[in-house]
Amino acid sequence: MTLIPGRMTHLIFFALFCAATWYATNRFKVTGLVPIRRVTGLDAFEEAIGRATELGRPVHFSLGRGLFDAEHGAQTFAGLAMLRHTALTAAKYGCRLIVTNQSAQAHPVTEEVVRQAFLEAGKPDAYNPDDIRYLSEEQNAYVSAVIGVMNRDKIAANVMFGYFYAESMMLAETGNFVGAIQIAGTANTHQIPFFVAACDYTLIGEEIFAASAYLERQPVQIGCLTAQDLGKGLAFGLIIIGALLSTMGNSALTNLLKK
Amino acid sequence: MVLTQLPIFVTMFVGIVVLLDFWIKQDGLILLSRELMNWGVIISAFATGLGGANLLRIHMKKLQAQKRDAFYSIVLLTALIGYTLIGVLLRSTHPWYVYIFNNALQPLSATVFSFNAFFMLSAAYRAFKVRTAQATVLLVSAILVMLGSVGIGEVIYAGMPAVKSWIQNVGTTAGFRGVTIGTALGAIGLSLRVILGIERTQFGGSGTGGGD
Repeated sequence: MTLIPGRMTHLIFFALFCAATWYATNRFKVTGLVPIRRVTGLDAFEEAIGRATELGRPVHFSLGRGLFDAEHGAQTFAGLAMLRHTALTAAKYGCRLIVTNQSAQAHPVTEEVVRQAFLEAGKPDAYNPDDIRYLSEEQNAYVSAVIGVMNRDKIAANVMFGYFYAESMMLAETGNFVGAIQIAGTANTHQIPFFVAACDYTLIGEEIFAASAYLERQPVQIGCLTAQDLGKGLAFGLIIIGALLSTMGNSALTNLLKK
Repeated sequence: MVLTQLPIFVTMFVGIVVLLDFWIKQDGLILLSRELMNWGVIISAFATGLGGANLLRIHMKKLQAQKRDAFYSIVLLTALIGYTLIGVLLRSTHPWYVYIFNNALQPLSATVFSFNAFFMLSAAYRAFKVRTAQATVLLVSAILVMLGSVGIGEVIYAGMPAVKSWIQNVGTTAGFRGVTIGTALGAIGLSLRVILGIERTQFGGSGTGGGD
């Protein structure tokens, strides 16, 4: 049993991240104090779903590609946390929630998340399994089906969280055409500009992973969030030192990180 | 109790095995990890069946209720069942299967994708309105990149392609890398919570299943 060469840095960084999370979680349990900056997109949830309820129109939710097994699976998990929050808020207000799935993998999971959220909100009868729809794995077929849903059901709020490809622009613009308040979040850097241009509120990159901590403020979530910030500080420091060393022709840091 | 704890245990076991396989070279671990990933593919195939069943159920109900747009359900069910039968009975290499794919699915797909051009234009029109300082930066950058990408930009100012390259290679790349580092850290944190059974949203539970 040996360590695979070239992955030692990953292991050390992962161990440091785990240690930082553990430390920050325990610290938060004792002090209860960790300031989190405001994320307007998350604050706008109540407003968006409240408006939909007043108008008597549904809320639409999409997880995007919605795969669990690909490298962007973490974004799908982050999207599920937002789906739960959306479903809880929709159930609280008595608002209809339509979830469209592009991934068959995500479909049964979204059904369970929404069902449990309605149950938790004390409105199990309001849960309609027909509103959790699997549409198509094929990107353009999915987009055309969602465009149809948005127009026919005249959605008042459109929430999109997860990993998106080119469907991001088509869904966001259709949502805009039907007059929906739009809240979106993705970490796919190629799609972020589309969401920024077309949506009312956009969560960028790491914000989608911080969303559950922002909304629920549980110790482990806060611990992870703090570890993320420490990790960013470490990355920033390494970038500065690495840039200085490389400028001076020293590749010691680069070689160390390759181990 | 078993029903709620078993999925968490399975997630934890699979997550730890695949994670260790990333770092440790050990024949047994490699075999186990590959096997678990193959099971993932099989489970995905079952999920596709569930998705198909959901489509059938919803559109059959629409037909039974004779809703206003039931016609679309007829089209969908005909295409779904008909194309599946052709694929299963005649195989995906049969000329009928290939003909439908090349002459129906492909053109329809290309048509929908081409909407993107119009959607981009309308979104850009709204985004480029100078309302805030950030919108102004976006507008100026976009104009410079567009001018740097076409011949007329070089006629106006010879260094325009270089300005475009600088915006794309330095400004945009730096921003994207910042987002990528943050995203990677966020993904590590979330994955850790999922593997340790702390994040349980995927089972319908709350975000913290006892890790606090």
